[in-house]
Amino acid sequence: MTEVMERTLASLPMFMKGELGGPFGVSRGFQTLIKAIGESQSKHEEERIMKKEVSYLQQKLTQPDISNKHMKELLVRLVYCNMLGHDITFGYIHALKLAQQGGLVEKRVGYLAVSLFLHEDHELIMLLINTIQKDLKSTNILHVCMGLTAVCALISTEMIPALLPMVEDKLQHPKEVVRKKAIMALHRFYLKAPNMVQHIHEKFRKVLCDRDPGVMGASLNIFYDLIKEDVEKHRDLTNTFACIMKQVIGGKLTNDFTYHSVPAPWIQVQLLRILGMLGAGHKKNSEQMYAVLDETLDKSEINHNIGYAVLYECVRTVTAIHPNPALLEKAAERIGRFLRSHSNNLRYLGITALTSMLPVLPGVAGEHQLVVIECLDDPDETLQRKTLELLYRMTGPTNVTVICDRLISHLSTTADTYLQSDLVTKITQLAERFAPSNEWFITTMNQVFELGSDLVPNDVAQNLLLLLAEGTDNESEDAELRLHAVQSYLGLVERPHLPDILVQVSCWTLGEYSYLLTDVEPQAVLWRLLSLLEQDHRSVETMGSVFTAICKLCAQMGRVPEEVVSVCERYVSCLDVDLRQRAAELLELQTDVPLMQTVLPVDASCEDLQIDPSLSFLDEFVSDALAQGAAPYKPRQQRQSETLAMAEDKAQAALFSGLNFKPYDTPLVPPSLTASSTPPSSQSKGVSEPSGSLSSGGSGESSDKLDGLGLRTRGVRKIWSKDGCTKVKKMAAPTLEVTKEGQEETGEVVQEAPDMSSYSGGAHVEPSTVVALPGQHSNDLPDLQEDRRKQQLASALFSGLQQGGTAQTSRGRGILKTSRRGKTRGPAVGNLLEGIDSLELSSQDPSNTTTRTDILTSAETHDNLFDLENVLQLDPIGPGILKTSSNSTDNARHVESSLEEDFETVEKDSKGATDSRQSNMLEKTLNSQQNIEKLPNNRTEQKTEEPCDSLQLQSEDLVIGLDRPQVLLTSTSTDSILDRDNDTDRMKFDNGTEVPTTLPECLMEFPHSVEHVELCGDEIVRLSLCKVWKPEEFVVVLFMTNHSSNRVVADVCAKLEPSSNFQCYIGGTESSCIVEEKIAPCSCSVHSAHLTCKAPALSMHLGGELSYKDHTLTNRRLFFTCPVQLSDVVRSLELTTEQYGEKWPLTSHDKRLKLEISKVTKVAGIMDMLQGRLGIHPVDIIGNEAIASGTLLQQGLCLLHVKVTTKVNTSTVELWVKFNSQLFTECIARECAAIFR
Amino acid sequence: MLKFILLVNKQGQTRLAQYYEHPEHDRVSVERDIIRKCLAREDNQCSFLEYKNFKLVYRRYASLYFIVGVDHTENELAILELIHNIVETYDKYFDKVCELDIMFNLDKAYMILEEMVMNGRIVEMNQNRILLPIRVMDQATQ
Repeated sequence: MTEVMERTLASLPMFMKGELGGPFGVSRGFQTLIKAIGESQSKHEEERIMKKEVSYLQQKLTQPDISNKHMKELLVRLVYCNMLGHDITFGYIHALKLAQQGGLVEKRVGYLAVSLFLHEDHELIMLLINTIQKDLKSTNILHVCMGLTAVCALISTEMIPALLPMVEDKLQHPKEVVRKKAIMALHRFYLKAPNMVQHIHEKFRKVLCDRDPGVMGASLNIFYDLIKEDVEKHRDLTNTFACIMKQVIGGKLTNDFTYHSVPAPWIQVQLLRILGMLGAGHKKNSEQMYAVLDETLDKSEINHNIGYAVLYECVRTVTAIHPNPALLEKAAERIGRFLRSHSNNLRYLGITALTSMLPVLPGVAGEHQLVVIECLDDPDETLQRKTLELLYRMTGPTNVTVICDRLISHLSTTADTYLQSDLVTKITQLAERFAPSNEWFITTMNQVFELGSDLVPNDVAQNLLLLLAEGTDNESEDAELRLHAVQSYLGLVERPHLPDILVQVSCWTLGEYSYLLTDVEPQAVLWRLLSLLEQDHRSVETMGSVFTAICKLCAQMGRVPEEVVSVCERYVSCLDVDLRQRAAELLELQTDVPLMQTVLPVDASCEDLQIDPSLSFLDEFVSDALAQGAAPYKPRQQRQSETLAMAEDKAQAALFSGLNFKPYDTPLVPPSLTASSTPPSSQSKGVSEPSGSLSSGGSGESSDKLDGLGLRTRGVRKIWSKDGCTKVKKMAAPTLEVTKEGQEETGEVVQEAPDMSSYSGGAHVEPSTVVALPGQHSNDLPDLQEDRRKQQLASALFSGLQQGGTAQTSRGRGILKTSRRGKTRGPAVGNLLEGIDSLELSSQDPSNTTTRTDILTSAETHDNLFDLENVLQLDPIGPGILKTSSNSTDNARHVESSLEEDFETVEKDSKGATDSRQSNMLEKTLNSQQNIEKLPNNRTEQKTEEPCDSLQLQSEDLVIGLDRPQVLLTSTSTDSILDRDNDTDRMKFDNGTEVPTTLPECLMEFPHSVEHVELCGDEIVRLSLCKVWKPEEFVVVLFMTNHSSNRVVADVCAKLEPSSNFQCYIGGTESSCIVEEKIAPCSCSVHSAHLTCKAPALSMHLGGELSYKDHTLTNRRLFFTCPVQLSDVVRSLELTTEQYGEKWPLTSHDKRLKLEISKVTKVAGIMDMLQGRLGIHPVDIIGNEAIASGTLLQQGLCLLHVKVTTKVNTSTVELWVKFNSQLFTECIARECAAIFR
Repeated sequence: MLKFILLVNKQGQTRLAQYYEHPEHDRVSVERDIIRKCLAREDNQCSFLEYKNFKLVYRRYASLYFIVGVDHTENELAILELIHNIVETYDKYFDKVCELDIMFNLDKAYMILEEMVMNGRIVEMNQNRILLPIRVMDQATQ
């Protein structure tokens, strides 16, 4: 290559000048590329160079303003890259553009590039149509030619209609080159969509007789395809073709067309082929061409390949048409010449020609047999194959064995799958047609199976088996054949690596006919078959056939040996269903040998199976089943009609059940609207307005809860009104039903105020429309009463709020925003808070803004209370707020740890503030109305004992004397709340007996919560919890109660999901699941879960899921969460002051808090509070400082230092918390902050 | 019908590849396989090869192999002569054509081939007629 390169380099300047070859200088870049490629030593380097080239081209093409000439250069390089297999998709569009825009050469190159890059299905071809159309219309012949060439390369079926007329037009073009290309374009159209060019066949004929030979020659292509498609239509053209042929060989064409002194050889070849097609089997046509063929044979005496080519074609034609002895003679002679030549090519042709001659002149092969044999042994593979082909054609009964042997030997040596399948077909055909003996046949077929394996089509095997099964008329021959087959297969199965098809054939044969073997025991055969089963890699069909053979043998033997049984048992559980069935069948059959023998009769493969389509043998079974109550069979029609009917019913049912198709009531219009849209300024009217709205809104109402606007806004949290997005108020009535206390309405009433205040613009209170309670699903009370109540409420509220609202509102809004965290609380707790809220209102202590807002917060947060579907999250603020509220109301009071004391003080306060106590507010839910009515009275005095009472109620529920605050939770369903007795938290069964709620003995000695916390429950099952505070762990005792009186629940499973910082131990092992198989009615099962933790988390909770199966075996699930307070996990640690002093510097993490408390407190009080809330042990109180210590479940030390400085009306509490873990410190600090807020 | 025309050098580098039907398979690997088969053959052996389900007709000119893929209906010898005609035409145009000529004038080589074979059928074998449009174009742009 280097020499050449040198030459090239030397001649490069000539290239550039254009004196050599192509007149256009190649670009430098291209030169370098070619040079580099030429010089590259390895494929790897070449790859690298090409990649670089591609990226260079890509980058270059992105630049704007490339001249057409430059683009041409780049495109040529792209063509080169494409040729080598690189992806140059980015260049496609540029090629298209150049074809569109370029000058002559550029356009040509563009077209070239496009035809090389794209193919007819490519989407970019669409863009080309326009270009082609334009070019076809152009006056420039070269353009037209380019267009037509492109058409030939690229056009798909869809585009034909767009171009067909233009191309057709070109058939009449004066220039022959155009006509020639046009005809080729039409040829392409014909190939793609023959129907589209049907109308122009006439034109083709005209072209055939075109005065230009080139055009005529091109048209031959079309005719070849046309005639191949349909000979009859063009028979009349035979003469024409013969004439043309005559002219061609007669030298009527110009010298241009002569190629090595053969005139237009390719046209001749084409013509000969056409003639061959026309003359085949048609005497008359053939007669028309004899003369010309004769002439052709004579004329092609030229010692040149092309002459031979024509000759060869002529011979082929002669053999194809109606035989003419003279011609055949001549042809045979020519073939002889071919065969005798030394050129392999010619011998090849000779063999091929001989092959085609065989049907016509069988003897000819015999004449040249020596040559043939020579060719057969020639090392040239092509020649060998051709000779084999010849042999195949030559096969008769006499030479079949030899030839088959040859073919088989080739089959064994070749690796080419095409050849293999070809040979397999040939051998099988020969064997089937000419088998000298059956034995030979079987042997040959076996060989074919072995060598061909997967390439052998299945029907070949089938034929063989049929042959064996059906046999011939000669019985003894059949027997002999079968015996032979069996013997050979018996030998074969021993061999490893048999192809599947062979195994299948062998198995079948052995199964059917091994009884013919007199010298071999069936047992031995069985063994062989069993060993076949070991070969797991076989296909399922093969294994199946082995199985069947085994079955047959067993039937023949009359028993099933143990090995077979064991194998069957193994296969009974195998993955494939087919094998499983067979194994199972055999196992069944072995119990009944006569049956087995009936099922698998000997040599009965050709007998028809008697099938009873009515399955009458099952009649007995069916009647038995019917007698036992099985449903009778419904024929398909009936089933279908039934399902249709059912579907219709269901559809109907679905449509009309659950959906309320009653049309909406018309909304009540103006008075409510005007009322609600009262501008802020008219606050004086505020009081009356809402009442007006309430009344108008409420009046004339049916059981639907509508707000003043006449919209059903139940379940809506915030509604839009002119004043903005106001929060939804619970409907007083529904709340009453929901909660057990009668304080809901009060709470609700109270709540309205802050809401309204919070959303109003400023220092005024706006009446908000009373809206439905979110998430209520209790019964609706009559609305009339409600409306009245609302009216009264409103008036009461607004008058009360006006004074105190100012301070609250702004704060309230802020808090509301932050505090609305979806915390929900039980109604009980809500009551509590509402009570506090009202307390706040009544106390009218503007300085207590902090606390108040907190209350508001709580008030807000428990707005969601009544969304009872939610899992309730306990907010530990509740009781705390209680305390703080009591704090707020009691300026200098000690904060008592027990709530009861709080209540008392609160009561005292409220007493002071209010005039009368409404004790009947303690009545239950159903006395709501009374309560509601009484409320306004209370309200006017801006106090309520109700909350106090509610508090009291709560406190009654709580255990007195406990040093820990009780966490109250509500259940998730209304049912339980409704069911729950107001008096006690104790669970009651449906039958009235009480649930035993004692803790396990071992836990009794530890401090525990007496009251159960209800976690979740429904009408059948309840889950409640009791806390036990052991020193090292926090134990939760769960009571799973079935409180129905007659229904058993099964598979009760309580899964606990404590916060991640906990580890849960149940029954000694680390698990978080309690399973109880069955809980009898009115019984309870107790389990305890021990929780230990390493570190606290900022919010800890114990959540989980209770699932059970009720008496109808439906799975039910209930979810619960129970917050775990810091106090649950903090234990007091008794330290002396000295010890404290020692430990103080040692503990690492600390946090300092400074809190302002708006009332004067003493250290002692604070300590008590902390003790109560956190459970820490107060170590010492010195002056106005105090220290306390605690521990987190015996791990880690917590030290607290409190310092209180009291000013006039406020106290500043400085808190210093120290703990080993940062997190805990944070927790404690937060707790404290929360406590003091 | 012609399936493709390939010009490959002895090292297996493709110099020209014209396909007349959209190849489904990986072109590069097939080309390599084909050239390998052709290279393995001796001089006195047939110029025809059976490859997969079609035939190859090849001829070597110096270091360049001209390989044509045809289906079974074609006259192999005629195709052989087609190859020779192509070479003769190139020779006429490029004046003693060599591999480099084809490399440096790839576009021209393709154009000439396009004149001769269209749709996978032989259209024009008259060398003058083949070269006429090319020459006209050359002149027009000179």
